[in-house]
Amino acid sequence: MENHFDVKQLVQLAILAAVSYVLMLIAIPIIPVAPYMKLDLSDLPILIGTMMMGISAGITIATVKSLLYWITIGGASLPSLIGVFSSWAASIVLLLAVFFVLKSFKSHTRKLKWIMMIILATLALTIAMSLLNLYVVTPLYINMIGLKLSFSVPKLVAIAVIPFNIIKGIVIGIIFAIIYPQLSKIIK
Amino acid sequence: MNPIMKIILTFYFTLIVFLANNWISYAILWLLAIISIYFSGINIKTFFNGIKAILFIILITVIIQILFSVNGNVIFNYGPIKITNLGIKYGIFIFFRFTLIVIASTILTLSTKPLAIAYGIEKIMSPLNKLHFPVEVLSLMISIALRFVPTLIDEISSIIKAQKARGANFNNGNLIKRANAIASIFIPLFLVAMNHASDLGDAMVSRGYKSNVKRSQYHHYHINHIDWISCFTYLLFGVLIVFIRK
Repeated sequence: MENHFDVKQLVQLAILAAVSYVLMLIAIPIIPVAPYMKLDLSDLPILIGTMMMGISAGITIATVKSLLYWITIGGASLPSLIGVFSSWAASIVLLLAVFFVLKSFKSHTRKLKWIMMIILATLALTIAMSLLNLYVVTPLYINMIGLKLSFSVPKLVAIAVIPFNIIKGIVIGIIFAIIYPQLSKIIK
Repeated sequence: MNPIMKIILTFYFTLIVFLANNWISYAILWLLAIISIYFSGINIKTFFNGIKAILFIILITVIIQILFSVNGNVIFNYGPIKITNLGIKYGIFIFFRFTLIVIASTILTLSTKPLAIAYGIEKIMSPLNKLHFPVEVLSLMISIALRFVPTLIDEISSIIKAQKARGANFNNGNLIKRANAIASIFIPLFLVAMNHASDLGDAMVSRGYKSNVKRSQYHHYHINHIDWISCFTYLLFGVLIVFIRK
């Protein structure tokens, strides 16, 4: 990391992580069956950092934010590590999708580019998080807590994870599409 | 106590919680938890405020377990909901397990400053330095971020007040209108944050900060007899659990 960023950039990344952490504190549960999945705006600073300084910057911000959240709110415990990991993974998927879509759609008209960004980012987020929940996160959580359940993980993914990530992708995408063009004018 | 020792003991406690599988072993763990709360010197009221938020999630998990359990004698049956005696037993065990883990981590976070926890995690993860994983840089960034969290919360509330004074409406409207309202908070917040970053960055560069040299610590933590006594107590309880579990 020392080789990638100079001191001033490191400080910028740290403060963007702090903004992201503060936004993560204002989170609302949107799916009634799964109150542990909360919608928050903490991905916005991560996306802006990614567009300003590249993918490794976005990953660094997401990592610092997740560690900070894990230490302060999660109590540095194992069960909360699973939740922190899945939110970290969601941030990474989102930033990769947004970065590649926006970089590859340079020649198109502006509106189309942003709409494509929202659709593709939402798709990527939903597919990646459904697979992750299906095969890694939820089974790990159920085994760690020791739940013995009669309903299946695929059902939970279908009724909770997929709608949650579609809503999250659209909401974050729209807000980012409004904020970033204005911000990039000011930054330049 | 030394933050490194506290983090290690919290992890160790989480591990022995997973070993417990009958009533007596859970009773022993509760005893250890109560002893730890007592000696941590945390006010009971503050302590319960700390776990209140997470207690809700624990209760939902327990209710899901009780309503949708698989085996055991059926006590109550209504549609897809079957309450069995084993389901209730597992529900109580899950409640114990979850609550004990939360209690342990709450003791850690309430009795230790976040910076001390960051220090402890940095020291525990320091072997990763050999793999060229920049533990110290990450720890520095966590410290900077922690320091700016209260500042940013203040900034957000003053930005919201300023925008409301200009007639902004955050509480109704469709998705696009709300997104615009959020943008009117987020853009000033972002610019304020970047100003803080450039100030601090200039200050660090002008003092000659380099990330790849050995740094000294402002606080020094030593391992003293209290650390050894608690370490020994936890080990003793761990051995007890191993013998009592089925």
